[in-house]
Amino acid sequence: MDRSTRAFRALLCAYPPAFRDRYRDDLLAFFVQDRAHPRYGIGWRRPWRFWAATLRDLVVSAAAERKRHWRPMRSLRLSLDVRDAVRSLLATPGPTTVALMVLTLGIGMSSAIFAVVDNVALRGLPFDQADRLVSVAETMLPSGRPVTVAAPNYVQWTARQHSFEGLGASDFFVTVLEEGGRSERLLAARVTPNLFGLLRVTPALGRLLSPDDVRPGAEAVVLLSDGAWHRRFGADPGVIGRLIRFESGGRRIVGVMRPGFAYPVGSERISASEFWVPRAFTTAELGRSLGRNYSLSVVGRLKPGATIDQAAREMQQTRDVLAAAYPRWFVDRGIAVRPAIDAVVGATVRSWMLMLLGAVTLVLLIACVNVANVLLARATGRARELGIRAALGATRLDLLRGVLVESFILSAAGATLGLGITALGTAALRATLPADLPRLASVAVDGRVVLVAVLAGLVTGVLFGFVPAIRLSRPNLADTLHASGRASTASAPHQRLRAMLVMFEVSLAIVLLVGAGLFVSSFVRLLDRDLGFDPSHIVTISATVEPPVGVKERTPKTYPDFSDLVARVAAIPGVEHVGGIASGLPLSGNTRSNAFTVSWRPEPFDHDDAAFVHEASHGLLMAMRLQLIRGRWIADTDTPGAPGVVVLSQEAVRRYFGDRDPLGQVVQLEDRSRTVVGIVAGTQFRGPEAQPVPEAWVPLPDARQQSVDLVIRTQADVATLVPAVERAVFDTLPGAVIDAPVTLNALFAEFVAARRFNAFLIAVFGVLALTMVSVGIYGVMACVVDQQTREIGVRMALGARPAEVLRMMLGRATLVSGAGLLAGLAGAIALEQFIRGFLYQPRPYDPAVYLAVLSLTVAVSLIAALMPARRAAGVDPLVALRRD
Amino acid sequence: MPSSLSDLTPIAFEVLLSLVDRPQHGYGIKLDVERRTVGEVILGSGTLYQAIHRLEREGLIAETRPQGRPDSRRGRSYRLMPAGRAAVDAHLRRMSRVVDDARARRLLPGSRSS
Repeated sequence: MDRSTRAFRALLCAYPPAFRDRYRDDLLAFFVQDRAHPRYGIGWRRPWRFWAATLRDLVVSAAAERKRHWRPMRSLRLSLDVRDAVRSLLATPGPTTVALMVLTLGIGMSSAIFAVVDNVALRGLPFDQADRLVSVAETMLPSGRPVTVAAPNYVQWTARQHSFEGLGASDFFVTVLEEGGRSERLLAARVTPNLFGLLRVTPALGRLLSPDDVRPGAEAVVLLSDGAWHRRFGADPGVIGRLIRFESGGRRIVGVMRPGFAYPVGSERISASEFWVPRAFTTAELGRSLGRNYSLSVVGRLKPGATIDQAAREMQQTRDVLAAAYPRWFVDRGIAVRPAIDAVVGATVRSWMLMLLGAVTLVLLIACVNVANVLLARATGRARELGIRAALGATRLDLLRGVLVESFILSAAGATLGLGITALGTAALRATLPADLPRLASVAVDGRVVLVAVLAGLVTGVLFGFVPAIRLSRPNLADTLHASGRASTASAPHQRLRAMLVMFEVSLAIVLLVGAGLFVSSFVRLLDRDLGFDPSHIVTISATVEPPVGVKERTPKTYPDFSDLVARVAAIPGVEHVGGIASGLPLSGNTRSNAFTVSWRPEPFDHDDAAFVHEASHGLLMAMRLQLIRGRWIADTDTPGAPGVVVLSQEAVRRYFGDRDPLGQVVQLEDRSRTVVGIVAGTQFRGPEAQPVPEAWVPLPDARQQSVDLVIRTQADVATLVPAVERAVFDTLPGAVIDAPVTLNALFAEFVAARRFNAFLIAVFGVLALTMVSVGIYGVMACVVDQQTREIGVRMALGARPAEVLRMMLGRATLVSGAGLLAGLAGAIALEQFIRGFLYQPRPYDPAVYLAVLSLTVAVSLIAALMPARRAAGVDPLVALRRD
Repeated sequence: MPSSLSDLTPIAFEVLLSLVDRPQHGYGIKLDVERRTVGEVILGSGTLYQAIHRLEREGLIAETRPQGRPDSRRGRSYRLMPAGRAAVDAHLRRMSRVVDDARARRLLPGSRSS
């Protein structure tokens, strides 16, 4: 009989004995014949399919047969078991509490992480047959990064494709809702009328958009989200047909979407759209003569039978045809066809989430080992009791069941309490994770999460319950009973087992701790990164001069002069330095780049080499603490009338001039000749992790911008300063609009939020692991001391000194944790390959991290062992020898 | 014998049908059912022997020992008992009545009025 048949025969114990005995041979014969059945397919999947079908049949039929043989007495016995188990657990409150706490934390935290990971990364899109939904995007060349789509491309793709039932597109627009006497600025989504049909969603009320809604002359319409319907219209079912006023005119409500529907799916910010209006394309938008404008996200549903590879090939061909016809539109654009879910959850986010899940699984595993250890320690004390039970005729199965019921009660209690931790943890995770994480807002403890918590409880129950159960259910009657009076002795193999469990625990903890160390140290490096400016003590306030209402296009365009404003703010008490910058704040994500032309090269530097232009006033150098390397900085005398000047960053000098001396050179930037007058150190405008880019600083008055950001360096309290600044703004620029002040430190914090989260969470895991390890080591050593009290007593009676006993005990603890250390090191080195991708400037096998973790673990294990060891050293030989 | 015909589960009925022509062993019954139902009914070992167990107890089928000892590679063979035959007939009559009725009311997909 081969191995799998033997396995199947073992599984037959699931059936009631009568049935099993009668049909065993027949069932086995059936099993052997069925293995050759063609329906299980070919290849590596075959055994999986076969076993899945066999096991399913076994479980279903065994359950049905068992039910037929149900005897009430049996269930009574089980309830007796449960009562016994609860009693016995309560009789040893110490170990029970420790085990329960460890389980609660382990199950609770892993379920909380699962809730986040599942909702963000694992779950499919909430649409019918969502795996047939495909995202079609343009890509930046050469990086291949998917970006949004230009309107003419979308329209021509739609006309040329045959793989999709249709392609739908969406984008955003900012509008002002004028409802109930109030105006409110909000972000709404525009969708092509076919889009929601492709998603196969239906409205709760009214209808979806139709192609008629975008015909010329059609009435303007709008779809409401369920949230908007409740909040703004009190869930009035008669809302269909009502007119709502936007700044652009009235729109008639034609439908209300169902609760939970959000589109586009993504982070909280982009999923927050309350209104959907039909997206129509103007002739100008579809023309290819003007500038290129990319704004659309495109989704399609594959036709039945069409594959995504076919679609990708077709779209690539279409792109190539269009590229030949309109080369200007495709010089730097490719095309990407991928499952829609991948467009929502990028590969980076997914692997990050899986990494978190892996880390928390390690914590859960340590928790299991820990509880197994605690139960083993308890079991030692029960060996005699079980021995007596066996002597009185309890079968091995009876004993096994009793012990297993205990572990299941523990894990069930742990899972129940753990769900409380899950609820708290999920809320905490939702609040601390970076807000741009897709689908974060909808993270909640739902059925799947509860199921996982229950499964985690069951699996841990089996994992930590079986080892002690098997060991205990085989009591050596002669030994245990012979040991008569001796209360709690553990056999040698028993202790070896516990020592091995601790070793295992130590090695898992090392893996986690090294991971935590790597994350934390990489985070510290990130914080230490020289940004090229000093973001601390800087408040920024933006002032915008809106063009007069109704004047959309002014000719000739005039732009406000901000120099008076900057001078006024500089005079405010408490302002150390102030500078104006008109091209977006550092770390805000707003940047502008432009072609840069030098005299010695005919073609301009463009695309990847384009210069990032910042317009700055004289005071900005001091306010941001930029570093002037050579020449001079922008002066107040650099007015629009004066000769054009530019200050370059070192990176710009390197790229544009190489070994030439840039000072005094005349360059072309944004249609103007400028003389290079100075060189500054580069800044990390786009955050600490961005690649250095060439930067060009030009005088603020050259800025053709409606708004300026005031960068104020101050030690004063922001709250007292801001009103004075606001007064200065309103005095110098009547009618200006001010945005809430932001500190550069706050912007910086957003940049590093994801890494801060990782470092913090993994460090918490590491600390937990270390705590559990110390509990484990303490338990083992306490048990060793307890058991060897006699031996120690004899040694001391023969002249051993307490210090020697102490050393001996600590030596043992070191041996146990040392073996775990080695295994853990190997594990950590393997793990580092996986997590390196998540680290900022990883340092391979950073010796500082490894050394710190090793010494920390050794120290903690010694401390944990110290208390029992001291007890051993304090043994009174007389008492010890008299014991038992 | 089942007290009423509705006691015959679909699986039990299929097992009985497989034994109408000749005795079969367990796996033979499974293959026969699979072929007749075009893969719609796929019996696992447990499900099949559960049904056999019940049919045996109710006296609808019985074990045969064709020419001596049972084949250890294939398991026991079973044959239809007179009571089983009667149960099949009764069940078929009822089904045919249902089908006639459905056809008359044009409920059956693809049925034409004749």
